[in-house]
Amino acid sequence: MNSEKNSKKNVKKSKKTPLFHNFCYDFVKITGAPAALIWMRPKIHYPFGRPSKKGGFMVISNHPTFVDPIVVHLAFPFRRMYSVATKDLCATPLRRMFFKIAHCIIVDKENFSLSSFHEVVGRLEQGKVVVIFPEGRVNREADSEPLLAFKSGAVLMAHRASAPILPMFIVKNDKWYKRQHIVMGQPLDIASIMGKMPTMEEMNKVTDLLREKEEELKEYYESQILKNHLIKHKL
Amino acid sequence: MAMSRSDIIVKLKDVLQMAMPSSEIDVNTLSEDANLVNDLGLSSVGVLYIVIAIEEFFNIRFDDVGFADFKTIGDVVDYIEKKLEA
Repeated sequence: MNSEKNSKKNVKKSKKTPLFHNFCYDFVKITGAPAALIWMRPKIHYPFGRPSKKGGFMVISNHPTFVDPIVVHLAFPFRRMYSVATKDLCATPLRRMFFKIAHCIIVDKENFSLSSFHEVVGRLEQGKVVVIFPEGRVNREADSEPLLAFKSGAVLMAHRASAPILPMFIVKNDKWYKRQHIVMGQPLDIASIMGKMPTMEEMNKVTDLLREKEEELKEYYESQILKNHLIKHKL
Repeated sequence: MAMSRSDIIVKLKDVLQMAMPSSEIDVNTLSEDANLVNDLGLSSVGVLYIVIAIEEFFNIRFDDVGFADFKTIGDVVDYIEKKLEA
């Protein structure tokens, strides 16, 4: 009952996105999409079938390069998405304004505030898509260590909003002009896995489970797509 | 009926127990001066978890506080007391 009350408060707390922000976001997405599609030529693989892209859910992904937010947006062309971005990116007021218009929810990793938390939860409850990179930063060692440890904040927020989490894996290209491969998993209904108020240990277990799902997607790409490609081209 | 400070601490320790991995620290031995980060080893997500659990357990609503606003268990108890009185 209390959580229901709190949920309603979260929805109320998350203000509607200003029309100007939505206009700029849509404008950039529509006009930028052709160039991004020509450049990246994204190929999305669905090893477990196509997931539903309707309603509110959280997308989590590995973060091998700084262009990953563009890749994620290309994977969901018809949805307005909100991305969680670190405060470090918004060093100047102009950059802060840019990220706000780009539907970014700014979080301070050093002093994570409740307002950021409530904004993410509120957006999910409003039926929006929120993107989080649970590794917490760009993984510059992606060649040797494809996945860093996941932070459990994403699970905490998705659980609070009773929203499913959709894992996806972005394949790191060694050359900028190569085709971008994306492997999409199936949404994980974490509300049904965990109880109403799970312990932090349970949260960490689900976080580990999500990381395992990411590993599965990576292995699928390597064993099915990459292997077939190498055989086809006799490399 | 208003809760006493000792009742709040007992209930808060239940919350802390949930926030920490089972095998580590015994929360019942902790004093109000115990530091959430240094003594309990909580991360920012751990503190956030505690805030949410407190909202559920005490039926209160936190203002837009930050991770750095609560350094010790005593700070959290003070905040809950203030909220329950309001």
